[in-house]
Amino acid sequence: MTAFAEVSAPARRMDWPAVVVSMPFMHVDRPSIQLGLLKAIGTAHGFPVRTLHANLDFAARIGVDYYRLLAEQRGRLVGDWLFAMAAFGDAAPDPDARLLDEFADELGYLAGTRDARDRLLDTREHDVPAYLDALVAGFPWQDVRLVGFSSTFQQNTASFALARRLKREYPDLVTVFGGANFDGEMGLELVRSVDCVDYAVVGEGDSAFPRLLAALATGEDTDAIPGVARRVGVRVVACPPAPPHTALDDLPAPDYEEYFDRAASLGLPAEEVWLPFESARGCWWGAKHHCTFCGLNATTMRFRAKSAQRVLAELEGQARRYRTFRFEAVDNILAPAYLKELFPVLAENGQDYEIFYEVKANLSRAQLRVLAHGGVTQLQPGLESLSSRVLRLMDKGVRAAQNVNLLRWARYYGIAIGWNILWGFPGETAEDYAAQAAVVPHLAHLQPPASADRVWLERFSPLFSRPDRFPMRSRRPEPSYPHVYPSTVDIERIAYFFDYELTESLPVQAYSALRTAVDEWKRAWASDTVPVLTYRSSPGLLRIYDGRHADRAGTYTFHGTLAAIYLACVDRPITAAAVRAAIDPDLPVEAVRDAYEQFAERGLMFLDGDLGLALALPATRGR
Amino acid sequence: MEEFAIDQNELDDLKTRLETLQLSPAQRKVLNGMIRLAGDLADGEHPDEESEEPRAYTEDFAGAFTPSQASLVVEYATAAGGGVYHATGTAAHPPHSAVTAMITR
Repeated sequence: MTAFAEVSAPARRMDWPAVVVSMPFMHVDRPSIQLGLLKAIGTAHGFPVRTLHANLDFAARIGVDYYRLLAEQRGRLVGDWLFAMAAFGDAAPDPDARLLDEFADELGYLAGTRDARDRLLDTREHDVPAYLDALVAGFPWQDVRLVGFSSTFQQNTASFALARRLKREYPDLVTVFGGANFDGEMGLELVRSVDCVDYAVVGEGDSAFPRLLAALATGEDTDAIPGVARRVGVRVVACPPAPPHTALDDLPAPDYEEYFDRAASLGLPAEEVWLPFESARGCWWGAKHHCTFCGLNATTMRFRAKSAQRVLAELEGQARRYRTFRFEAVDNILAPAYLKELFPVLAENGQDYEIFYEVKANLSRAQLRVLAHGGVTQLQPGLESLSSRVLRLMDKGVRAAQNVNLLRWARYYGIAIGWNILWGFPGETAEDYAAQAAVVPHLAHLQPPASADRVWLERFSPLFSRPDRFPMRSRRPEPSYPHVYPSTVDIERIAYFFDYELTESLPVQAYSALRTAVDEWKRAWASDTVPVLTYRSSPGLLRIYDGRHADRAGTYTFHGTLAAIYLACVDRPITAAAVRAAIDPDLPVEAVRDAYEQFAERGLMFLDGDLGLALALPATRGR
Repeated sequence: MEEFAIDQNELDDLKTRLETLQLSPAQRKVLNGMIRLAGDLADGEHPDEESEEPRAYTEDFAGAFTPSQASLVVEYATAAGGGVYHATGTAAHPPHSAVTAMITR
């Protein structure tokens, strides 16, 4: 029993059955780790807790493909807008669907057999009410005392819509809201302004949720529970959150049983699910240098990780329980200790998992090999740019050459990379982007970014919270918020995404060449013949096979010192002076620099200040 | 032409000496024309970049490339299995990865 388990008498706990709900637009292709964990925690404390992945019902109703499109976060709150009428009734701000006109140019991707406007209106007017009716009628709400809603990104209004109906049908039901949408002042404002919210858990819920259940079960005062807020008249009473939970090993494994049951009953495919697991919270890099654009970990940046032994045991247990080998870490950043204590053990044990992780981009070749051998097949590193100058402006703590090197060895070891190029940082210059556009064709054999676009302004990020460092001409909540929330909600306080204009910014044309180059990169990567740049070597001989561009394909052959210089730059970015020291102390550094430049002119090397990095990969695999 | 070297001081000295010569306007015009012509010719024979250090390995790079489709490239790109990630036919990626979203860390 953990420290937070000191709650109430067991008999009373059984009298407080609860259900935790995940509403649209939580992704349909995986269970909610928030629900799975809250159920396991509640159960561990003796409360009968169920989970309801109600998002699946909506996906089944409107079609999974359409649902997936709506669940994508593309900048406009279309998902929240669809449920706003049901959530706020007559107070909803956009009965005439002005949002669909205002952003018509951006919503074409939501068109099906009809245009996007007709389809979305039909969804709002018909599918949403029918879905909510079925949900209220189809679950034994009379058997529960408390309904918890986990809300992240576009889950607010769908959750409010269900809570509103449940309150009407079952006035004694207690509603509790939590999740990232209720972090910081956003949660306090939603408690103040949305009637159907009885309580909110602001911050992590591992302790607050069972303590709230216990207090409700015994009739004790809830106002002293850290992280819990409620409305009293026109005021909000909130107890500051406890320090972030550190004993992650004590947390139970998430319980996903009801997700799979519900998916099966709705006829939704669940065989390809990547099972979410949590091995760490917070961000060890962000705790030291908060990346300027990142709004994650609002109040819980402190890094905490499960022990490797605990992660191993959880993966084994979850694989057996849910008959899957695919695991998606929800961590914001990989715990460095796992490179020595977790992945080598997975490799040694011969466990054949497929694992996804988010990582910092400064991984070496050896570390990527460890990850690959341990079963990591997908990574999301925070690459963000191919310019060291722009990366410095972001406080990323890596250089462009390290980013490129990660792309290289990830390809070599068969790890898929999800990444983006971002722009729009104070202090950047047009030359920063011209240089990136120029180098992109040389990287055609590496995985391209999913997108290249202006950085979003997120609440809690330094760009948002440090106007002294990042002065702005204007800042306002992203313009679809007023189409979703009534005027009684202070959207300045509940918005997560903001429109902005920096005092110092480049014209959009400065990014055109890079955007075009990235589009071409993506096209080439998606073609039948994937671009390649490989080499074979023997002492004194190097041959590079260049198949990056069909019209310029061919081989380069180098001998002696030139071959040695290139091969010295294969593993990692390295200075000319270091190459000289490694291969021939009598070699002039200038000669190495000349070689760097001429390799780079041919697109065979990436130069980053004083660093040189060979771009070709070994033809022999897996070393 | 036999190569010779002359520094800026000697050139300045030559210019001073020539200017001290007592010449008619026509003779002065011819002399200036000759000097300009000689300078132009010298520039053509010794372009500006000759004053810079020659780059190392220029000849090695000049002959390094053999155009044509390398058979090994094709072999590498089309080989079945192995560790290289291909864009087409990939396994499903986790839904919240940057592949589908602009939410980055």
